[in-house]
Amino acid sequence: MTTSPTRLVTIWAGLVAATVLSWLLGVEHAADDVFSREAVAALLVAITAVKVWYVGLDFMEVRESAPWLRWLFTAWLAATSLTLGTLLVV
Amino acid sequence: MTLTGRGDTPTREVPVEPGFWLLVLGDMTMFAVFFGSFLIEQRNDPAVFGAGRSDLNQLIGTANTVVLLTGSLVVALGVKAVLDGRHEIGSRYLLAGVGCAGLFTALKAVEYLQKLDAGITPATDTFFTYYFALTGIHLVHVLIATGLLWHVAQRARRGHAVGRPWVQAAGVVWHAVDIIWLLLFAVIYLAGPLA
Repeated sequence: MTTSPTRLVTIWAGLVAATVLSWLLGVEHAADDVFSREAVAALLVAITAVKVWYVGLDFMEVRESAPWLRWLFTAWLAATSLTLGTLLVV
Repeated sequence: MTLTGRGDTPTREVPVEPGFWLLVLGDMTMFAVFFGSFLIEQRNDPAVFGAGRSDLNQLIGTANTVVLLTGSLVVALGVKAVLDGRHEIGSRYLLAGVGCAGLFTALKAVEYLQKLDAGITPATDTFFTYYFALTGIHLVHVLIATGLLWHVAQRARRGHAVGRPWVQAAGVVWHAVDIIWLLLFAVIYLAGPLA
């Protein structure tokens, strides 16, 4: 079974909404009065990680692939997000 | 987990060869290292990087993110259709992906021209050296992915046999280019220095 077209369209809509949210946070500083700049930066990295997760697992079909590929992709995403997030925030 | 596709598609373990995946993940890792290097430079010189980022056109950057995500949707639908034997509709989806790549490239060209008109070049400062180098290398990746999509779409449209690995490889390369851009967009366009 592969990812259904309906699910792909739903994920695409979510990814576009997350992109607009990132723009509001990063450019319009929509949450700067509520959260610290560190928290906003961490949120931007987290949103990006979730976006990459869905592109990889559903568009790339990693979700339905062999376990080693799912683990490798997940490990790559975790290592990349944590490293970039640490360099940005800490 | 072993999966079976629809129709006469063969049982498979992973899309494309494992070695190809290592190549793709290696390329994505290379970019991740570049982004890490960018952020280390940003920590060392937050004033230059903060000023550089304020000179970027974030609206074009956001629009290009949506363009690539839309490309990923139509490419995923196209790969699925071609693998299901629906070559006509599949090739149309893949050509829509080529169209997204064209739009991305056009918007990127507008962005570069805006910078050059403002007297900003790769030699301006460290921020713009990274900006031009990373977005330029990414653009080359977009063009390579576009070539693969075009090749598969044309063969499918003409009713020629399209090898399953070719179709899947074209899709995987496109999505990898999308993933690299998502990271680039967050690191270079959005997340400024905290200092």
